[in-house]
Amino acid sequence: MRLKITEQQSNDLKHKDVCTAVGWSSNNELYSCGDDKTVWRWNLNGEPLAKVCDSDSFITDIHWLPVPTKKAANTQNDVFVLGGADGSFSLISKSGRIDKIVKDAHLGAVVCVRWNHEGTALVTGGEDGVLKIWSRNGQLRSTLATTGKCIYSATWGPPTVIEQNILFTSGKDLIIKPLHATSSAKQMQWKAHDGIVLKVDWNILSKFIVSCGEDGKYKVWDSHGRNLYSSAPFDYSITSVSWSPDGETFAVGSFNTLKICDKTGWAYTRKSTNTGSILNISWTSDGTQLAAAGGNGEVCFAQLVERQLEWRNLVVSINENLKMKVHDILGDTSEEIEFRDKIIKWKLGFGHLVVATASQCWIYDVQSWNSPHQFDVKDNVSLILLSKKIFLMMDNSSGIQVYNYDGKLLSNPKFPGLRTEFLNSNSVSVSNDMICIIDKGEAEGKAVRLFNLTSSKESAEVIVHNMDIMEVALSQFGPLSERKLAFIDRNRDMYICRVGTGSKRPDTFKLATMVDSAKWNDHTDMLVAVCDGHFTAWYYPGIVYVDRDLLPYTRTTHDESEVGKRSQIIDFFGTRCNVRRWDGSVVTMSVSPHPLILYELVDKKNWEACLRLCRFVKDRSMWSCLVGMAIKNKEIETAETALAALEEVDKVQYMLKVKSIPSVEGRNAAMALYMRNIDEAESILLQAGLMYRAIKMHIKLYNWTRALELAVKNKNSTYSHIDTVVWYRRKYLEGINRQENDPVFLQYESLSVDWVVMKEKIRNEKEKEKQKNKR
Amino acid sequence: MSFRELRNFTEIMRGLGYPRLISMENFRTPNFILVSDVLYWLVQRYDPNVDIPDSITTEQDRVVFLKAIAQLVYYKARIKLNIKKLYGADGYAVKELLKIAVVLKDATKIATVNKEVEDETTSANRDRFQDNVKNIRSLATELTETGTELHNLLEEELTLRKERQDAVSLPHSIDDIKKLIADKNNEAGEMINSLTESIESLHKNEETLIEKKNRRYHELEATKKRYNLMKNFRPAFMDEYEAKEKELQKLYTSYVERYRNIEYLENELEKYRKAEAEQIEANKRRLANVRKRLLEEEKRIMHADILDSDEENTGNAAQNKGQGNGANRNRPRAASGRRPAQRTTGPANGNNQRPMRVNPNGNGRPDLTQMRPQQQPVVKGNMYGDDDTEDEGSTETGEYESRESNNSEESEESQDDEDEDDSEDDGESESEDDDDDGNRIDDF
Repeated sequence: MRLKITEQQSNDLKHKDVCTAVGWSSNNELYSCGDDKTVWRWNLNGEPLAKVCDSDSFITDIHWLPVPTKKAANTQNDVFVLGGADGSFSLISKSGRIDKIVKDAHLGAVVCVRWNHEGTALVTGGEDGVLKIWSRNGQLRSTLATTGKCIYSATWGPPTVIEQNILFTSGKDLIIKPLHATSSAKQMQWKAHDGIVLKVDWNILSKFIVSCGEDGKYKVWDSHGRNLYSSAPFDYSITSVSWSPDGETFAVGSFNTLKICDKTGWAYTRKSTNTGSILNISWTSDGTQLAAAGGNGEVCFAQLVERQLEWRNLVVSINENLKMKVHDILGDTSEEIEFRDKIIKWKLGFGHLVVATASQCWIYDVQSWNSPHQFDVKDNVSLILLSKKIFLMMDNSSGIQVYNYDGKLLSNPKFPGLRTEFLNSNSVSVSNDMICIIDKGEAEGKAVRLFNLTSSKESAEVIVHNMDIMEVALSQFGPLSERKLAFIDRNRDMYICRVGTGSKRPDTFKLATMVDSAKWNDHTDMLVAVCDGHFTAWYYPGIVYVDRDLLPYTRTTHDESEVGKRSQIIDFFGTRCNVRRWDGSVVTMSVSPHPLILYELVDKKNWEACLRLCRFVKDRSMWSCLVGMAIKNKEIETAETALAALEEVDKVQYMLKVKSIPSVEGRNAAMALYMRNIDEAESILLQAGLMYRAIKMHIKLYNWTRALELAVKNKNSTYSHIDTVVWYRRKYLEGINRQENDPVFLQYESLSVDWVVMKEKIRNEKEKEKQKNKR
Repeated sequence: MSFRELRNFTEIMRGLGYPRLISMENFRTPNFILVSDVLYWLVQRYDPNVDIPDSITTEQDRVVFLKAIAQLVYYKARIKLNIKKLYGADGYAVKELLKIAVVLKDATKIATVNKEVEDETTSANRDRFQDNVKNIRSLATELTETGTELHNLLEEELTLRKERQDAVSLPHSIDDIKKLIADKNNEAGEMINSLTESIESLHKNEETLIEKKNRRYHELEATKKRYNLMKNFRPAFMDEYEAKEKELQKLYTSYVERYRNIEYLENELEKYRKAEAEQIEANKRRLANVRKRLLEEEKRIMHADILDSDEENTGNAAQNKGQGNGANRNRPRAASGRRPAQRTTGPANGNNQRPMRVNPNGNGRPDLTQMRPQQQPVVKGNMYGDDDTEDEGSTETGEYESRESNNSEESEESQDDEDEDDSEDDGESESEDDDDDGNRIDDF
């Protein structure tokens, strides 16, 4: 990534004095203001259009009223606010008409003005150290804070349903203050810099805070005030920082310097400008361009260029805004694609390239670049996610849309409280037949909503967690019944959860702790994650639902310190996994290719070949994976062999026993029991009418009450097994030297059990099952 | 004391290159040291040679310092400074400082713009020169050449100047000059004389040297002749010497031949001895064997006498032993603890095959009869094998067997066992097994 900077000639600067602030309007025009008391309008290419208005006072800050969609941007909403050095602020419409001036809002200058994300409230911070909240029309709502020190910058926190925080600077400290004093949240204050904090910004998507100060450093914090990154000191104090709208990068401005950094702190690029100190930075809503206000009156425009994506043998790069270059490394051929308007989002993977420009979306197959599918988009696309057969596109006006690769709209899932502007790639995941979204509305990020695309309605499943869920990822492999969801919560614990089964209570299982990032493989069920700074791979996470004892075998950890903490997994295609380390370098890790082959063979149901492969590899992890897959597919023979190879004698014995069960249902139930699905096992048995077997199963599980319940329920059939249950119960109590105290069993206290009769009954049941099976 | 002024001031000072970073908060509290430093630095920008008392330790000193500054700025830049505000060294002082700083900033701005304009004018002229580039190039080289020449000449000038001045400063008269010339003439004459003399003496030297050379040459000729004479002379003992040499050669060859023969013979001898030793050894062994055999034979004859009556029994025992060994041979693989795949599937297959084997019954009887003899010994072997191994007390196999039997019982239980003649007692033991079984599932 690089910056292409457009600067003006120094002899015809539009601002004769310091340019103090810049802001993009909803139709991508830049409004800049300066100490010469004027506001100028510029177009996207950095050409000045006209002077908008004159102000009575020196202007200190500008902020546009945020509009969620292009559609909503009508004249009434196109308003910006100007802060004045004489303590006033004014609301001005797009055309330059002054809607309202609030005089004496602060004693001394108004230093910063900021709308909240909904555009319903305004916060102003002044030189007098007072922070005030105003309504949309400029009515004073409250005085939030009074500090002795000048408030140089203030910003709104990520909005949630119950509370809204405001972050502002106070000398060397940063303060987070909840808007409503009644809420349980407390004010938080910490020392952020050695010098005065000059600017602070809080991203609503990543929820990270970036601050800069006169000590020449910029620092990244999380929303709890924990320091994630601290830069090396610059030569001059840093005067501005600003998050890009997607929260992936931020811009840093210092004296004659503009820098673009990743959210983890490392710098993509650094550019010298001729602007003096950059006092303010503003990003366009699509995040491809930014403007900076220079201390010598210059307005500097910068475009992000030379962005690049890689997939297998393809490298796609954007050098200029309209041109895209596709390079095939294998054939050393390249293709140039030109677009009519600016490329905003693009994604490569699963054999397709999806490019969203400002007005259209183009879908390319990597096999043929000449015949793309194409459709129109209404708004700036904020997210594209790909899967094997479908892809997801998100924008603020039409919400989440799911298309297939022919460009046909498949689904447009919605739920109350869905707000796309708070969703990013971590909070949405897509697979062939399902998408999941973190519910940031009613559930406040503690639940995941699942949409089954085959039925085009929201499936019943809402996975509720006891903590905020930070990241979700759906597995890509297999049919809907195999679908699994991995999610990471606020504690950075990773859970796995079976979805798509339609069960009301999804069984989540904690897979790992201290997880920084996780990713599913593109065409197998492998899962990789960075846990505690180590690269870890699960070859068959589904083993959790087959045999949890084998889980450690299917996990491998690369112990080398190649990846560190806070590493992000960029992609995981085939056996190759790219990991972005905290310092920005990309490390390519690879997982063993054997599981990949195993998955293929299992997909073809070639169990013999699976066994041969495992024997050849001679690895416990492979055997464990095979056990999981075989049991899942009810391949008892294969499972038995694999278990024997693992030297799990008890399990081999169990498999042998399962094999000796005469009826298919009985075997299935036994396998379900092996997978710890007692309910499923019971229902299989009851459906097949194998009552005795079901009762016996519960007896063996010491599940006396349920066993008796079943027996009682079945009292009227030919054979009632109450006596059997009671007999076993008595024997059990005798064995542990206890008296019967369960009232349910006490009522059968007097029941006499004839062993011969009982045995005869059991024998008959068994005979029946055998007979039935023969038929 | 305004936010805007502070910000602009820090920005301007940064632009001007003030060595210290000024913070926005520096003037929130009076800070005279910084104000004075900034003032001193700004004034230095105006005039680097300015002389101002820079002591600010006492109040009086500060006042004097500020006055000097204000005076200087007023004279040099026509800017009036409010000393009172400066003395306060707070936000209001910044306003005063800004007055000077702004002027300096504008000046630098204009300077940079002018520079750019100059750059532009030169670039306009450049087009005109493009036509006669060659001409200009030659001119340029010429210019440098003449320049170096001039430089060299000028360098000489330094030394020459003094002489010239000396020459110019001397008093001139014709007599003196005449006298000087005469003197110089005389000197020259003398010099000529001495030179001719030296030439003559050199000629003489040359002649003597040539003579010497000739003499040496003759001597060389004579010695050469003598040398040739000596070369052709042959001494008397030479013939004898050559004859002796040939004789010696012959003797040496015969010596070598003999030595070789001896070596060969010795080697042969060695081989022969080795063979002999081996022969003896083999004989010894054979003898020992024969002796042993004889001894055993004897023993057997003796025993045969004693056990004559039990002859038939021993025959059976030998047979049993053979079977036992056979069973044991199968065991070790199982007893190793690791159960190979075929082995584990083995008994299972057997179970599965049982009903299958019944089915062909209907098809053809000969098949069954063929299978039966094969099958029976195996089954028997297994059943007795259990007892056998326990008897033998090999613990590992015992464990395995017990496990196996356990398993078989389980399977019996679940499969509804064939041996139905088992009565209640059996049932009880079976149920105990069931409980164990329950435990195990829980363990899973």
